[in-house]
Amino acid sequence: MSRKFKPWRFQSLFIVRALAALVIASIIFCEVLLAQENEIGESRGQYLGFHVSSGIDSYREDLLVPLGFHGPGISLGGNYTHRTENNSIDIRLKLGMGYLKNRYSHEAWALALEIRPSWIKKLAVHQKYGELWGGICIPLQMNNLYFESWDDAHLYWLTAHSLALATEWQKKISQKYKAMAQMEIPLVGWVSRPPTYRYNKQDALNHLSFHFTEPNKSLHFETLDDYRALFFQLLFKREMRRSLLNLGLEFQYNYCRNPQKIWGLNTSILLSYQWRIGS
Amino acid sequence: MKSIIMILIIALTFTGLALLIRCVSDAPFKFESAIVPEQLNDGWQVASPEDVNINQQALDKIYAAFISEDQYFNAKSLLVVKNGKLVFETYCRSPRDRDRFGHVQSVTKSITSLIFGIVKSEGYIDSLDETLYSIIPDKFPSDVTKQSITLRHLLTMTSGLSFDNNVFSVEIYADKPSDPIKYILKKPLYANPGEQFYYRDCDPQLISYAIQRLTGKTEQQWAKERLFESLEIRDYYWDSDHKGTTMGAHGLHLKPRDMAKIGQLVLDHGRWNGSQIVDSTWIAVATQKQIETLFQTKPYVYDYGFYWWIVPRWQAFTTWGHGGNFIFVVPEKEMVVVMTSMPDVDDDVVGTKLDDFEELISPLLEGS
Repeated sequence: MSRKFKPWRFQSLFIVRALAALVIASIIFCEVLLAQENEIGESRGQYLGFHVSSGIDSYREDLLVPLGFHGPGISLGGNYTHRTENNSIDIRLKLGMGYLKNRYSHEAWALALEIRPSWIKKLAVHQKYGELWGGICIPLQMNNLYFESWDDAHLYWLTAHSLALATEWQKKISQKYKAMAQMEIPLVGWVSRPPTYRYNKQDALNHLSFHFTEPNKSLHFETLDDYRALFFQLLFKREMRRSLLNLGLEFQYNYCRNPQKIWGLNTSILLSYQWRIGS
Repeated sequence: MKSIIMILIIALTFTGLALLIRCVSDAPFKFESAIVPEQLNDGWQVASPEDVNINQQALDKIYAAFISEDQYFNAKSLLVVKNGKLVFETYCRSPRDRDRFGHVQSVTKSITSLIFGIVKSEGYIDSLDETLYSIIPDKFPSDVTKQSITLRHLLTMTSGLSFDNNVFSVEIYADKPSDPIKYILKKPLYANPGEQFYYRDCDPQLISYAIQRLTGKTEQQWAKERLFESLEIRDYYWDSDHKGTTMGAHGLHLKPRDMAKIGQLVLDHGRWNGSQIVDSTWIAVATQKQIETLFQTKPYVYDYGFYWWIVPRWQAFTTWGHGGNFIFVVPEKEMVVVMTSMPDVDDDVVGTKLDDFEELISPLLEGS
């Protein structure tokens, strides 16, 4: 059976990465232009919010088959933020789900659960370029994968509880609008992955607790050499009297080398609303 | 100016992130691999196709289809034995698959059949028409119809017990009922025993337990002592339920070359290296049609022996493990063909069913 050319098989990673770098450089350039026109803004206080996001999820699990599974994803979540003049504590909770297919239309499902507590401190303020914050984050992430076509009896997962560097840049771009970019890069992680070989015919997939306990067993220490991740969020915030309306983009990358490679990539548009609940 | 910049930012960001998705790109999952078997000290003699009069072109055609990434997605290995010699052997996902075992799913049932034959020839079983109730009365509910289930019914998947295979796996492995055998026998009947073939994992599981109760040894112990040691099968794994009963329908993990030994044993009427391992009479009846199956319409024209599938088209019989795990025996051609595949796939989408496998190896079966 001959293979037909399919545009989505285009895999020139060099070009893809070069274009991505160009895009990111353009964003930074535009941000600098914007920064020159505006002044620094603030939204201090305690906020409670929720978010909904939708985008594209991609995973490749080499324990099973080195094929990328891509598809639409949706997530819901909430957050609590307490921001003072110089410090900010943020706790985010997210539950996401994705329906994925590979190039043959073989189906899979992804379930993501994460909690991201972070603490950042104001590091620098520039009249033109905005504020730079930095600190730490402890992302607790669980990505469960259900490859229905390739293995309907077992659960696959990438669980990572990590210690990450967190940075934030924010800039008021008009009286009511603010731009904010957040980035988190894990330095070390406690990672859990499925076993290389399955002796059991059937996982307890009919038990809800299994989906949360099993991926958190056998956590082991991994450094940047074996586990890499990136979280990036670009938000445009509209400040209202006692609330914030946020629209932005979220990008998340996860990679682990053991026992076989796995990649996860989530790109989504995010809409969130935050109520000011205290000062 | 500002809104143009904003639009530009958003457009570029979308484009960039969409392009980044391609970072999770596909890699090859099948590879060109050697097809000439290596002579090892594992009980197999190797030979070239010409030595045993096999058409090399037929093998080439099979190999090309086998390593295609657009079909037989989950395939791992393919072996051909002719005249007792290994003549073709290939591993398309990893050459290491030669030396590691894999779950062979319902191939286990066919091994259960062989073990049953050994146990029967040892005198533990007088007749296939003995009722299961007479062996394990303590496990039965007070249902007279169920008490009429015989060993023959269990061996031909006609017990009538209504226990879907997917549910069986989940309930036995995950739910772990306190007494799995009682749990199976409590299931309702879809038909009276002996009336209707219905492919069920629970029937071989009851056979496995019957062997254990009759002999005081698990099926796995019987296999180790009386089958695997004789065939020099040393590296395998066989799962049991949480009460220690060997899984009779699946759970056996074997290496491809060892599967071929099972095929050669059955081809040789139960003999291996001159020793009678399994009673030849049992082999003969187990690999003959015992029951009509549900698969009587094309392309599934298969009958069923005692846990062996009968393929009249080629005058062959075979094991058939979920995903595409086969030990295909063609007595007329003195040939055994083994295929192993990843075992837990959706057969309708990714897996290799028996008719697909027949299509794959048909150049070999049609040729001289």
